[in-house]
Amino acid sequence: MTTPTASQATPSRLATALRSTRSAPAEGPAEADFFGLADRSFDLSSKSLRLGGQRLNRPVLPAALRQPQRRLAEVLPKGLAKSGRGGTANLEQRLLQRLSFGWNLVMQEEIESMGIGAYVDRQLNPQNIDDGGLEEALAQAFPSLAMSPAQRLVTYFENQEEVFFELILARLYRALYSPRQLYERLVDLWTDHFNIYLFSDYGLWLKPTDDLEVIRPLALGNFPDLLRASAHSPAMLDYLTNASNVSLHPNENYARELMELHSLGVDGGYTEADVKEVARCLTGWTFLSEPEAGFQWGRFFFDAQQHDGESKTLLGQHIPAGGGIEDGERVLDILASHASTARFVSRKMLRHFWGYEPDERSVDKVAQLYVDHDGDIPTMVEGVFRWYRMTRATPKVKRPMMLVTSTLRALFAQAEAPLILLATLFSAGHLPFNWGPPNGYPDSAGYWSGYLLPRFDFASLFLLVEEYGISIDLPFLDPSEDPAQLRNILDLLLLGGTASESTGQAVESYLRTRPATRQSLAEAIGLMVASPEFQQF
Amino acid sequence: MCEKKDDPGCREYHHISRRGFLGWGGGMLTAMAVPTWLPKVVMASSENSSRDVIVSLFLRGGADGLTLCVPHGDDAYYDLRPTLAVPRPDGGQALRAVDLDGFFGLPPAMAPLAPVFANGDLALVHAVGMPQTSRSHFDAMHVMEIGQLNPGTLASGWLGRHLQTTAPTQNEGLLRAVGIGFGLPRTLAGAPQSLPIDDFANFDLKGDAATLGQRRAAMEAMYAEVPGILGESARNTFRTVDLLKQIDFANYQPAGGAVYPAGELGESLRSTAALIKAQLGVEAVSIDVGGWDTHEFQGPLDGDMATLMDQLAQGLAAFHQDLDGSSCDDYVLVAMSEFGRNAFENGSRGTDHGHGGVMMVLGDHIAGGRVIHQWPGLGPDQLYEQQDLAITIDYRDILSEILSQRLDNPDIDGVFGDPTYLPVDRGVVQSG
Repeated sequence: MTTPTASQATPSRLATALRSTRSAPAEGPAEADFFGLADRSFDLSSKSLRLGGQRLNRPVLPAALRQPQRRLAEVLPKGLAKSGRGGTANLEQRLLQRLSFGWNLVMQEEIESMGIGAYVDRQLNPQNIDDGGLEEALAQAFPSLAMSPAQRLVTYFENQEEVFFELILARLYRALYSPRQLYERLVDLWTDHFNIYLFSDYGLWLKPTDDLEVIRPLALGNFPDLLRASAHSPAMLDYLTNASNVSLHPNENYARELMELHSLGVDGGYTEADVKEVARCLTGWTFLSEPEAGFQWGRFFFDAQQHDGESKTLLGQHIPAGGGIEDGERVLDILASHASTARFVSRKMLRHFWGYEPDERSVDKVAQLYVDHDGDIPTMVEGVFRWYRMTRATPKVKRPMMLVTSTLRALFAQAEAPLILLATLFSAGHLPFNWGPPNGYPDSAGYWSGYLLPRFDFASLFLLVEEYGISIDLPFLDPSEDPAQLRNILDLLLLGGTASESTGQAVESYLRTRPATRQSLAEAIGLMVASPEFQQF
Repeated sequence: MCEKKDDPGCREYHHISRRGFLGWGGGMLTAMAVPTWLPKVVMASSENSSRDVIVSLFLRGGADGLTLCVPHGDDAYYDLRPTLAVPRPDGGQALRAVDLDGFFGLPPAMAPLAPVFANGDLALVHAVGMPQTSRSHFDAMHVMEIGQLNPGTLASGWLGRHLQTTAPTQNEGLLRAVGIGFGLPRTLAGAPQSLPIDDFANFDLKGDAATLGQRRAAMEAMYAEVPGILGESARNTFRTVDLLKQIDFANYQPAGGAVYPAGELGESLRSTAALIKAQLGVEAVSIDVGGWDTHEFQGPLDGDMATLMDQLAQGLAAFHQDLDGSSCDDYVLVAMSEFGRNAFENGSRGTDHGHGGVMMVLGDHIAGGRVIHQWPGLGPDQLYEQQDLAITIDYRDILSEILSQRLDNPDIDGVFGDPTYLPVDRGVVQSG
């Protein structure tokens, strides 16, 4: 990939860029076509795999991130010595699975030596965790991330796929390698909660800024701030078409989703009349979309002339005439401090971190924390982890992204060319920022269990094809080792010794009947990655 | 409705189906003459295999209806399209419209479909679409694939809901729907037992072929006893692999001398025909065809769009010939696009996003040989928002009729249920 030179966002250049992006990639498979994803030559077993004509093999990982692998050599023998087969996940392991994009042995050692309280505390304060240079490396490798919308547009309008790949790869690399794992899981939660589809209208130019300025900085802030920031986010106003919500022709799209999906919940006690009133309050909330805006293009703008200045009444509260932009701010205050919002957000958080069906008592408890602490997210998360004995948590099915990241994290694998990761997420329907409807990627076992072949493909291939650029360098994974011992090592590495007898047996007898080669070992690892236990967390 | 009620397979395979066994790729080769591309097919008995298989073709990008089906009888067309109009059938140009009914015609690139139209197996629907106002690809495709004007958070597609509300035809509904490509298109979202399949010939576990059997056995052992949806789904995946292996897609021989055009669409239609003929219980296939977003240098006669239409027409003609030439003609194919394009051409010899468009319906049981329309006209006062062909037929009318009459779905409300929508009979399906 060559990086286009940054250009100045002059009105004339913006005009050119906007004209040429009017025929932007269409939604669905056509968009995949646009990025070369749907090319029929896109064959996972082919060694000449390319994506969108790109090899995507720029190494971006700082050396510091490879450190934990060395620790593993010390941790593994201890684990082998004490763990038996067929164990169940202990509290620490279950907790790590839930607060990260993938458990591994080094994390397990850390939490056991630090204690759960101190470990969770540390994860709740990500600013105090050294990220090993990850953010700096990403900023260098992916310059489109930090640009303003205007600059992104004029720089990349002829290379739109760069913006697409950079945003998605940054998401993947952070999930894979950031030591701030709990923080990244919250980014995941809010990215779905405030879902924005990358291919809606100006999404490609605006969503990276939403990620940079709304979701990431506030993921561990407080929920009311997050709600307000999202409401001012041009990407959201564009995606849910509030940009065309004007006094003469109100557009209820955003107003409805703001209540249904972002705050109160569908049963949160609002009426159709409330939807209309909220829409009126938000008339004129838009962003600068004309080329004349220059470097300010794509920034939030309150268009007072398009605002409905009359009085409104919503959720039993009167909003006097002439409030201007304050009408909308008032709506956000009302919604953020509503009891339904506290419960809706708490339930979602419990579902994300604990299990699909949290009980009402726990929802009440976390909701009370929301009320008592003004929606402080770390307090709520701490509450979730404190009240829930994670060992009692019912297993969740890993979404494809989690499958991919947890595999690489468990094996301390390096992903230099993450093609197979993107290919897997694409085939499995879980590319970041690619969910069209406003409700975000589903968080349910049913949705994600239906189509397993891309997972099996990933498991079979990720270590087999050298060109994929996934490497693991673990000296104790020696093909000539005794199959029973290899089985134990793989069980411990990937599942913490919790593999079922049938999975362990399948892996061991595979190793026994195959020649002791690297390929056989890679295939055995693939089997364990494809196992039912590893599809869950 | 269907003369082959007792025989689930096509006539060519009756000798197999009459043996009446059901098994999964167990090497049940029959000694009788079996087409080589279908070496191991075994037929399940069926309650109702008379339902048509539906093939839904989505032309992504907004296909220009005024080119796909040329209104050469409307003089305004030639005023609106000074450089992009397809010449009248009686014009002297070498490249001119092929007349269909005195008012509409096919562009020359679509000429291969003229005989299909003439023998009554192809109907065109004009000034059709979803009566919505958006000119965004995303919004327009979204509402059209969901099949509701205000979908809200509804995530299932119209074809997905059709399958949800009907019982499988055979094989316990192991594989009821296929989306050709990566990822299931939204049209099929929510469909039970549906899979996106890009490469039919290689739908299998990947990796070293030499170790595949053993790896597969290991995986089956791991999942054999797993309860719940995860275990069920894994076991279904293995069975679907076996199901599709019964068909040798690579050596499939089309019937009737049909020749599919090279390229993705031809390949997809060819695989679809093989799938339909094998009668494995697949009830719906969805195919996407990209490239219709013709803002610049549209080329309706010999440019980009002509190439696309040529592929489309050749593909559909071959598909028709292939299935018509077999006894396996219980299918209906519908082609649609998210919107038509501006009635005016723009300054770049292209057209921008518009409104009303064209649908195509192909099949042995449709009342073809007609352009179904309520022509709104192209005059200045007749255009939608003074710029587009208006929509006078809701595309759901066409689909409702097909679903209720050819796919035995008695509950159209369950698919398109929408307080603002009442289906109107457009007579697209043969009566009786």
